[in-house]
Amino acid sequence: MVRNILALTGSGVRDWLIQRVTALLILAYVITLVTYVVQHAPLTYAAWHQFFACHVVKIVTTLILLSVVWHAWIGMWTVFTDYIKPRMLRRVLTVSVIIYLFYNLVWGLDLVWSI
Amino acid sequence: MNTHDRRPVFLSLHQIRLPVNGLVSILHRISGMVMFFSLPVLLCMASCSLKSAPHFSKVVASISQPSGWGLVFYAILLAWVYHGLAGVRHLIMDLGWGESLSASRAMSFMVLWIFAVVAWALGSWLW
Repeated sequence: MVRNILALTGSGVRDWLIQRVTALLILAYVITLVTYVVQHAPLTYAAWHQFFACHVVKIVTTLILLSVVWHAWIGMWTVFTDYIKPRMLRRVLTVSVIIYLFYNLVWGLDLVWSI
Repeated sequence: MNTHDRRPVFLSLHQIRLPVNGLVSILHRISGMVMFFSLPVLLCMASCSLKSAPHFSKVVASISQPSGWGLVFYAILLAWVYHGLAGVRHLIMDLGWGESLSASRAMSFMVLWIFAVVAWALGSWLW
């Protein structure tokens, strides 16, 4: 059996489930962040900084950054599989997506844990 | 062997009238792509706004006007809001609800209407 080595898990069912679970986690995080911003309107630097300085928020943000990377990986893989027919081009694009996402992940982690 | 080559092909994109479900679905993909490219922009804004109070004020000032970074940030917010709404529609259908044609069409229109309201609200809040 030929497995797609550039898909996140190589299993369609697992990718499908991870896509949904990460979607819910990201949605919950965004709603929490928006609620915080609305409650502290007009937002000040102190309130903004205080949110991200909280240790629990740092841990949760780390999980959310990972969720975004996984979710985007699956999503971009799906879109490329649907629209990019030449196999070599699709591989190059998918590898570029993975490198780009990891770059953003490391950047995000560095940011979160240096506050 | 040649039979499948004789299938009619009609891919004139300006003439195809996409059903609302198709529109909501393709916009979900497009907004997802926009979000993908928005990651470094958002990280940049987050990193700058968390540096110091003057940096924070500078970021807030630059995104609270309907030009330049303000437009970019607004477009990014719209992509996130739309993707979230259309995504919730997908999750609801994954649960087996609203899978009939009329229900899924109603949900598609609902996604577009809620998006329009939120887009308007966000615009008036930012600017």
